[in-house]
Amino acid sequence: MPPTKSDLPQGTLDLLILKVIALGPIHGYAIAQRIQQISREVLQVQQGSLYPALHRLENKGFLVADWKESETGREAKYYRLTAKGRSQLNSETANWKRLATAIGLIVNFAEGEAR
Amino acid sequence: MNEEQLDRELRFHFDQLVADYVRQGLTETEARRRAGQEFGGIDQVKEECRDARSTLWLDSTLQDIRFALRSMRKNAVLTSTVIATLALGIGVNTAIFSVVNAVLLRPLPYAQPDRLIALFETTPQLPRASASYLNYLDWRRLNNTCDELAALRWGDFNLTGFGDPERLHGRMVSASVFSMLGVSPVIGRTFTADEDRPGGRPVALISESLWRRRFGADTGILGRALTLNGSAYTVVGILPGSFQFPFRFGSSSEEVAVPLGQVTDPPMLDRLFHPGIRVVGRLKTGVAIETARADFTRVAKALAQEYPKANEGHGLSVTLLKDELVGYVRGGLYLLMGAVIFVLLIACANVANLLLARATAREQEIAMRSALGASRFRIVRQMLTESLLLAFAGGLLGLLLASTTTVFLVKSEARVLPRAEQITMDSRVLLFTFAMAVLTGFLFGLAPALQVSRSGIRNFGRGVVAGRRGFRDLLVVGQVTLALPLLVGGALLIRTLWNLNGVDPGFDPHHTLAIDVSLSPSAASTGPSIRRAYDDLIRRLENLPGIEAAAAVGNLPMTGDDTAAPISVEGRPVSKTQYDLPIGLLYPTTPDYLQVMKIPLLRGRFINEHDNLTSQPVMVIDETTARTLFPNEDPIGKRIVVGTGRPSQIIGVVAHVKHSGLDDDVTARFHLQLYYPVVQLPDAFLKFTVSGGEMFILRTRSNPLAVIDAVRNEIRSADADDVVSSIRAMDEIVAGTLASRRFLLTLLGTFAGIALLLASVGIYGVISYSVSQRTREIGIRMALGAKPGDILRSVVGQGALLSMAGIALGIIASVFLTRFMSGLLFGVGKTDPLTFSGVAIALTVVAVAASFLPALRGAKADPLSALRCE
Repeated sequence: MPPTKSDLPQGTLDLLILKVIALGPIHGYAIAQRIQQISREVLQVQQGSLYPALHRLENKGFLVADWKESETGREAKYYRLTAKGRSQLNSETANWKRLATAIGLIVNFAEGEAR
Repeated sequence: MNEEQLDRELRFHFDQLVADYVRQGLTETEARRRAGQEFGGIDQVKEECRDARSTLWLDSTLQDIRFALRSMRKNAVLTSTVIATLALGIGVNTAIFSVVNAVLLRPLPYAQPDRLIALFETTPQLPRASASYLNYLDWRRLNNTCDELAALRWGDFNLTGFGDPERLHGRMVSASVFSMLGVSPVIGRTFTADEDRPGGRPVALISESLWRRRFGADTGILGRALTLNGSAYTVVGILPGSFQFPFRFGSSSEEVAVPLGQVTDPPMLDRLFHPGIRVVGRLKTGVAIETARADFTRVAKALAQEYPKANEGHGLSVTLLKDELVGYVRGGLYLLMGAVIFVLLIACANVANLLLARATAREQEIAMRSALGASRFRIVRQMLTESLLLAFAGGLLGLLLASTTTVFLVKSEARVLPRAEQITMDSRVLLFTFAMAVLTGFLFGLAPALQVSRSGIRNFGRGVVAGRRGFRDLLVVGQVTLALPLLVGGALLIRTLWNLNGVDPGFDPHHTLAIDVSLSPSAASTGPSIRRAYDDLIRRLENLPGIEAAAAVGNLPMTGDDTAAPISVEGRPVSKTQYDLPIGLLYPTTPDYLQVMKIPLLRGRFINEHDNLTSQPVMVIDETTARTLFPNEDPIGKRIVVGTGRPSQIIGVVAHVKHSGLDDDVTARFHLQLYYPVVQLPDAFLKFTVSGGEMFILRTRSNPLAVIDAVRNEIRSADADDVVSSIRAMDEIVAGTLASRRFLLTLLGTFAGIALLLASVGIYGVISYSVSQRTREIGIRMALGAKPGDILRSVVGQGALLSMAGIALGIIASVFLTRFMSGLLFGVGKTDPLTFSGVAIALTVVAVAASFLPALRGAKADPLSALRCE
């Protein structure tokens, strides 16, 4: 059975990708694997979303890519964060935290009301 | 973007996925299948990656354009049809807009044009009268809202003593007019304030055109004297060729200007006279026109108090100069602009229809592209690129069409359009054309593009027919709806012209020749010499072969000129002012004028040669005057006073003449007409009367144009310094009064014709298409026993039904729209049932004819081959 598609808002997917790449140069397949692992299988990234996102981020200058030999010995396209990408990651992370806190507050508050 | 790298990257991912599944225990084949399922369309992913990369649309846009050009070349016939249709639609819009732009939108070619105003007197009898000169001087002195005021008066000048004598159109103007309008002379100077008052040095400015034409652009002209109307004027400057005084009269361009203030003929110095003076002012900075209106109302009140005899009840009308100069053509031009927008919409509907038909053929291609990963947006964009390219091509061709037709328009119709010489293709016109092209590109391109992209994606591989018919039918209904008001408008104008042509002008214009003559300065110098010159000229002209009779009159009907004065009946009480008196049109004539014009005598007798200086003053009045002034009396024998002159005895009553044109009843300013012997005028008035030139009228035995040369020679041999400024057949003058309506009709008729053509092509196209779609159905019906006649009826019925729906809507639209024409119509109502039903029937006939051809093709189809199709 094909995995259910994760409904990630575009901005969120960009953030996840940047975060994963920030850990070190990595190719597309590994990015998908890593997101899945880290999120304990909750988030599955479709290739159809992943590669356009990677190309978009590369195009915006947040990422650069080189062809390097992978763990299996085949050449793979490895993405690295640029300085611009790092500051983008920082500002998006801050944004995300602010948003998450705000949503958390609302949810908690609503639960408090219900009690 | 490196395609090969993209491919490698995605392939790597795919292989990793397969390897993972194999590690999890699947067989190689199983793993590949699973990975393929998960991966989805690899081409779609690639397409999206490509989209993600193109920062600039340029790449893909260029690609779209290349693709569009290729597909346009492949369908050359369709492409050229579409471009031609659009060129027509955009071309007529550009042409009319360039006129609207030059005439209505562009500021007047003067300094600070938005602050220029026009001033008129209002009197109890006339909503707008020209100013009296002394009043103008007071307006200038007393107002607080204008920095400057200037007066302009028409004047014709006979240039003599320098080669062939010539009548020059000119102006008498205040010295202030030049700085106010911001014009400086090419060489020399303009007038000084000292020259602009009685006793000032006689000086003149001449136009650049006269300077080049008559004086070879010799700068030595400055300081030289020209003989104008028998007096010497020193030339002090040359006015630039691009400059024109406001209030242009017809297409005549003025070539001489002299200072107005030094003119001292009697009407200039009497507040009772309004000798054709126009006043222009420039508002002070920041002053609103309403403020100026209030200010001038105050001025008018003060003058009415100070000079009650002349100014009681007089007001001042203040309008923006531009509104004054071009306002009267605004309605007609907007009408034409509306008409061409309708034409463009109809053209768009046609093009949309053509493209829809082609889109059907392209369905497979579109479906393939979308299956290969092109997003819907991308397909719509591709199709819009094609539409826009078509629109731009059409626009470019349209621009070409417009620039040539506009040149033609300007040449032929300079007479009926103010500022016609200023019509050019400026940047605003180009921008308009560009905007029109973009707009039409979207208008006709969007619907087919959306429809195709939707159906193309949904119905891959299936023929798509259902649902499409509705939209195409709607387009046809819309076309007919839009065409109908144009046809109705054209038909109403045709009926108007027809009615006007049938109007009896009150005289017989056939076989008559009108000659505008100025007597030579020596002949015009004294009363006796003028009377002698008249006698001599009439005798000479009557003796020419082919001429039955000759006469002279101050102003001829329908030439746009008139002389009018307040009149009263002797013995009836008159109030303290002259201005509750009726105003009569004055015709000072030689004895035979009424007979030459064949104006019917109703009572009494005509003027004859025995009514001279020694006999008592006499007058012939028209039937309107008789009815108005003498409702229950016999007018013969009563005496009438013109202005402050001597009373004249009424000796006859004649029919009313349509003086201001065939639609005189609506347009005339004055309705009472008075004829009196010119020889009975006192010397001073006689001199004033002939100073503006005199009209001679000849009745000829056959074609009046045949005697023109003989007439010209005869007048010259009478006095070499007499100036003939125009000779025209009276028929031509009468026809000229219809010129502006004929101009509108020519254009509106052309647009209506284009609309009809496009709409019938549209109907033809849709019916053809529907027949081709119904081939199978028709085949089945014929196999089941339907006769060709049934098929014919059913198909033609469909066309008739569509056009009927359009006609019904079009009639509703027309009832609403023709109200904008009511001022142009004559003798026909704006919702005239006969015109409406006539147009509706004609349009139905055209629609049936347009659906008949495809219907015939359908009915002739062989049932077997029809069934086999598809």
